[in-house]
Amino acid sequence: MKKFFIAVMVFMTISNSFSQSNSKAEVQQEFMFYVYSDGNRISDLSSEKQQLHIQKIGAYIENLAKTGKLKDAQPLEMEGTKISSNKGVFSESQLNKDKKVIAGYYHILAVDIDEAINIAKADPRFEEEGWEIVIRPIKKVEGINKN
Amino acid sequence: MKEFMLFIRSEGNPVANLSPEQQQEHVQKVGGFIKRMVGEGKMKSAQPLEMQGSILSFENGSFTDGPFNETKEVISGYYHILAKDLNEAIEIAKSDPRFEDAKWRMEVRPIMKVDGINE
Repeated sequence: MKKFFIAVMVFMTISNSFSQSNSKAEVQQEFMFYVYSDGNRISDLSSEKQQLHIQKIGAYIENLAKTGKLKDAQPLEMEGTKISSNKGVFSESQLNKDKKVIAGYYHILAVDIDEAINIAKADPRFEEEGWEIVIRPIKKVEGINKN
Repeated sequence: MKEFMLFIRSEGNPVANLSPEQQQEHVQKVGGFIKRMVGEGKMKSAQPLEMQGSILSFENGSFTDGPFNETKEVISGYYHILAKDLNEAIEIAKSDPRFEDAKWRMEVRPIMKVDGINE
């Protein structure tokens, strides 16, 4: 429900900014932010600090949605499987959560990589040590994600 | 149905090593796979990534904003899928025809539902 609400807000904000800035023609690009942590930082925090962390991140996400900068934001379970293929034979291994792993991601709209970096810097998780965000532009490929 | 992210990893961009005809064929095959999965209601999103980017970290009170090393193993794209469990997600990952064309690794990760974030 909340996701739907955020999606509606993003849509409304996007249509507003379109109607306001036709002359500027500010085209937004899509970016993925991969949030890396060493192990599960959140579970290392006390339950009050976990709660506070979630509140701060939740407010940051809400603000991004309101300003039309957010398409999606999801935390990931600290588990999973890695698949690799060699000459048609697959092998699987369990994710090593003690290593640097992706703890979540944001799908962001920004005019360029500089704006994307500034959005990432505003993430309140950086008030705690040990996080890294990798910012990657989404590529538009005909037949894949471009019509 | 549960949500999963499939992170597609490669060393550099292996598609760039294919001939233009093979590249065309690769995109058609992967595009067909995506269309089929979307049609079956098992895929929410599929996006390739540019082979560039920035790494942002914060240490000792200041930000470091480093360039991205594209020759190492990097995420070259992702799928956001729906599956009933991790095993089905792994089977969907393995059915991606990209594995016929080059060396890839895929990381299958369940999305976590957190009250106040995505729930």
